[in-house]
Amino acid sequence: MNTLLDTEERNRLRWQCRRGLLELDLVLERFLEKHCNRLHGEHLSSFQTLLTYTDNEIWDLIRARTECRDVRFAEVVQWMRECLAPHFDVEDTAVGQTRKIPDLP
Amino acid sequence: MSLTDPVVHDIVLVGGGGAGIRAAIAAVEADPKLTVAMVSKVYPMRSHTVSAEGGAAGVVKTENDSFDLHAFDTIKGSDFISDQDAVEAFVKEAPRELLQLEHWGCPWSRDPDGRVATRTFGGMSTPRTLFAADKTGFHMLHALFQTSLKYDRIVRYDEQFVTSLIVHDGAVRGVTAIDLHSGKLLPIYGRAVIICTGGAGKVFPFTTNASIKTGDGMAMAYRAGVPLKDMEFVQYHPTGLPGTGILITEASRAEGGYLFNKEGDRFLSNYVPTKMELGPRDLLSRAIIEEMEAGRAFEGKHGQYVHLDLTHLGEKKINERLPFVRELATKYVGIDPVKQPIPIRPVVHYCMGGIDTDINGATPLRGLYAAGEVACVSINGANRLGSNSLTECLVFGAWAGKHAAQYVRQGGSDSSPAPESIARDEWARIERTYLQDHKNGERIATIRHEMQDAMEKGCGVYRNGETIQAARDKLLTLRERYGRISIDDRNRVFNTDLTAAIELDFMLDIALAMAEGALRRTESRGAHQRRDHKGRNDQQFLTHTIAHRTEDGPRLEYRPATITRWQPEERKY
Repeated sequence: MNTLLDTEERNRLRWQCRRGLLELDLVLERFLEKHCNRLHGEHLSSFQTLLTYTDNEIWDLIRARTECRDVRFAEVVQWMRECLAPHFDVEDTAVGQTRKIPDLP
Repeated sequence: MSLTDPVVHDIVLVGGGGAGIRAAIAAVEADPKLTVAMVSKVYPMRSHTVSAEGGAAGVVKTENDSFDLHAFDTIKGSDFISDQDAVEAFVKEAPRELLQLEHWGCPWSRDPDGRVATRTFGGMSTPRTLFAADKTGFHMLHALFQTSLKYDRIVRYDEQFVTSLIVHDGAVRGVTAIDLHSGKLLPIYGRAVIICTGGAGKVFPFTTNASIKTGDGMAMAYRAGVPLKDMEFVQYHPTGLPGTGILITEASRAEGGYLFNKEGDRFLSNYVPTKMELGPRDLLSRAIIEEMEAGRAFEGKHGQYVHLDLTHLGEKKINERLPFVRELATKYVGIDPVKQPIPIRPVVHYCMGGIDTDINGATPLRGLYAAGEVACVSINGANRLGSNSLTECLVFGAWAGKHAAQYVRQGGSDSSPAPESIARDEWARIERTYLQDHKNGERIATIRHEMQDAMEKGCGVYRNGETIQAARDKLLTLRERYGRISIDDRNRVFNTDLTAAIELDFMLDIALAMAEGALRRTESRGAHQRRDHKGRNDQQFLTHTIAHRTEDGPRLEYRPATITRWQPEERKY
């Protein structure tokens, strides 16, 4: 399939991006926002195949705990990894403060 | 769109997570003839059970533990409104279920001597939580799922979105489900129905729950006349990541993590001095909120937070025992916990309340059973202890499956099909409500955000009559506005606008039951803390809240909690 996604296929992907892990929900939501409208051909079928993996298999791929054996998926996995950017502003985390550890009773 | 040909099974099971699959296995093992339809809106291995990291509790080492100790910890954790007969039965069955799961392939982590490893969880007075590395829920679900595949009498209906229970002549007869692949409504008839659809964390804005946790099963039962129990008790997990709600597992505290405020104080010494970071979740969440209100928390883009510090544990221990935590913090907040503390805040985690069931999972509606987070037996009372819920899925999932099978064997709900008009009427309702033109109607996302905001403000960690009343009034307005929603997508296949609208409908009912329960419980107990009614009132509220759905909103009544051997006492740690 080389054409861009129709509404039906986009909705199917959106539904299949609803996962058991909140972490995956967040990454896949970002992925769809960023890539859904330009997914087609080999990339689309790679993404569809990846979505058939279990949550932990996908999550392990995204956080690079495992690498994809199938090189055809490499590019899509990389796009997914790029969607794992921090959601938090770290400037205000008070690094290096003095911590007081009380004696425990 | 239209109806599709109905299918018929002996038992219809809604939900494919831990409790659901356990129930399905128990049902087919109880009776070699019956068939079970396992109906789920997502594939079973995408259920929220996979997200449980910490572990499953049970008395598996008796040298420093006993059933009585596990029972007492659970009852004390519940702030004394769990039903003690249910808790006693639960703790006795727990080890058998955990062993059974090992036989089915769950790889419980081991100590160096080869015995199963256990860790301490908040509120548990001894290490009794089994775990499978940092993927306990995944391994449990995987073992259950693989086992279920052995039985061809468990017939899966994946990506089927259940919209209602079919009830006829005072008994449940099946469900109606939108087949997402065709967009048609599929009636699935059965002589018993088991609901295992999990909780409803998405009623709130900051939650550890995945997006599928929208309280569908609770709302369906509620509409079918089954009461919801103890809905005001919603557990906040003390350590979620700001912004996303991602859970930093309690294991991070079990392994020695500290909580600090912005003044560098390990502030829990002022709240739970004997347990510190291993105090129960409700007390820790409250302590963090108190620090925020006292101006001793950090301010960030996503609101206030405190620090969970693991730096003193060292890289080796963090990598060995908490690798998942390190990855989450690095990926989602850009902080390496080996070097820096992790920002955390309390986030909604678990519904103690749910469908009113007895120990066997039976509800007041003939033929309807429920188990797991969707149900309220109740062993969790006003506050669940971490790691009891995975075991609860196994124990009560098995009992619900077994008793549903027994009910069917004894005749079940009448085997003659319910009138077809019930499914036709349901389809007509869906078309009328969602698929006809409602120009310039209300937007689903707007109502959902306003509902979540109202619940955060009115039914958060701390509540008072005024804020709950405001939330309740807002929810009633949203319910009225919901009648004018419009959805853009008119496609049949995988219509995610339609499913989002129906999920919102479910959540509005759940939210209202939570708010009403919170408003009427004029005391503070467990996860329900009223600023205007401090302290427990055992004289009046050693009771379960039973909410019945009416057109005018929830009608509440109260049922005494069952006390067997442990009299209520002050809950101190």
